[in-house]
Amino acid sequence: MVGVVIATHGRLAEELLACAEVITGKLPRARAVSVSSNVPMDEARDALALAIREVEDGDGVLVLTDMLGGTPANLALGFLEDRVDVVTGVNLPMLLKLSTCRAAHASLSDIARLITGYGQKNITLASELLRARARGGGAESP
Amino acid sequence: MIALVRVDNRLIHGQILVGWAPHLRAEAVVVADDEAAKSPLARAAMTLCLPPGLEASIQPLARVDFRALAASRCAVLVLVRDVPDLERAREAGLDPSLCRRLNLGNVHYAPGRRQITPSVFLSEEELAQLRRLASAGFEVEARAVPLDQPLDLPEIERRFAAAGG
Repeated sequence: MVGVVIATHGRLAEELLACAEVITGKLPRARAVSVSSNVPMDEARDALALAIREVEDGDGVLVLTDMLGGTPANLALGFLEDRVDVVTGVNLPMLLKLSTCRAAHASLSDIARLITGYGQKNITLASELLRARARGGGAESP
Repeated sequence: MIALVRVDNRLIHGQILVGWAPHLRAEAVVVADDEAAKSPLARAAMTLCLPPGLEASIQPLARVDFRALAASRCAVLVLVRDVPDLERAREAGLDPSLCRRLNLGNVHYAPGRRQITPSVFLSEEELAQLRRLASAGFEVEARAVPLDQPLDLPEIERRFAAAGG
């Protein structure tokens, strides 16, 4: 199974994983790595390396980071020589999707692409969607 | 012109992209770092994230032409990895007339260093280097992000002394 490591600024990673697991139950082969602002780079890199090793079972590891250009993503991109894909902009829907999509034995690159698209699709201007629906005068049924 | 010379062991990262570059209206970031200049991966990772209007150049420190950067029409942010690199930059031609302000952003804990701020830790030797730079005419400040209150060298000294050792 493709492993999952969430790496973010501060404690966002732990909390995202905890939130996801409240909804989906325990996510197998998943680890959270917090890169706090006062941790030396080498220490953060070691923590990330350890987490990747822990969840790797031969199918590769997807590293989800919070922002392109941030330290967690910069560190994660240092592991590309291993079987690692790096996605930035992690959000809760992406983690929820990972609870189901990995069971289908999709490859690391398939899952990485799927999760990237899924995360993007789940950022919505929800109030606009609702207003558009309301303007439809109820004629539009779900 | 050189808008700021900053010590940041993370080089280009979120605080630079979201905080300093817009604050300084910088159009270029020069990473003066031998290790990053040697690593194609580090160079690629750091330039992948640049917003439109911000360029980055990653050069070995000794090869940075500070006079040319100061003469540039656009605002340039220079990043070095650690405090000793500030002294090396001075040897490479950085002068207070080119950029007076030296910023300490991220200098993380290592044995022998004392905590000054949540993200700045200094050793006795590094403090001595900062004193030399200050007496050469540079203004040294510790400040992680633009909206933080900057700490000047006397305050850094005070905190260093208070942190004991």
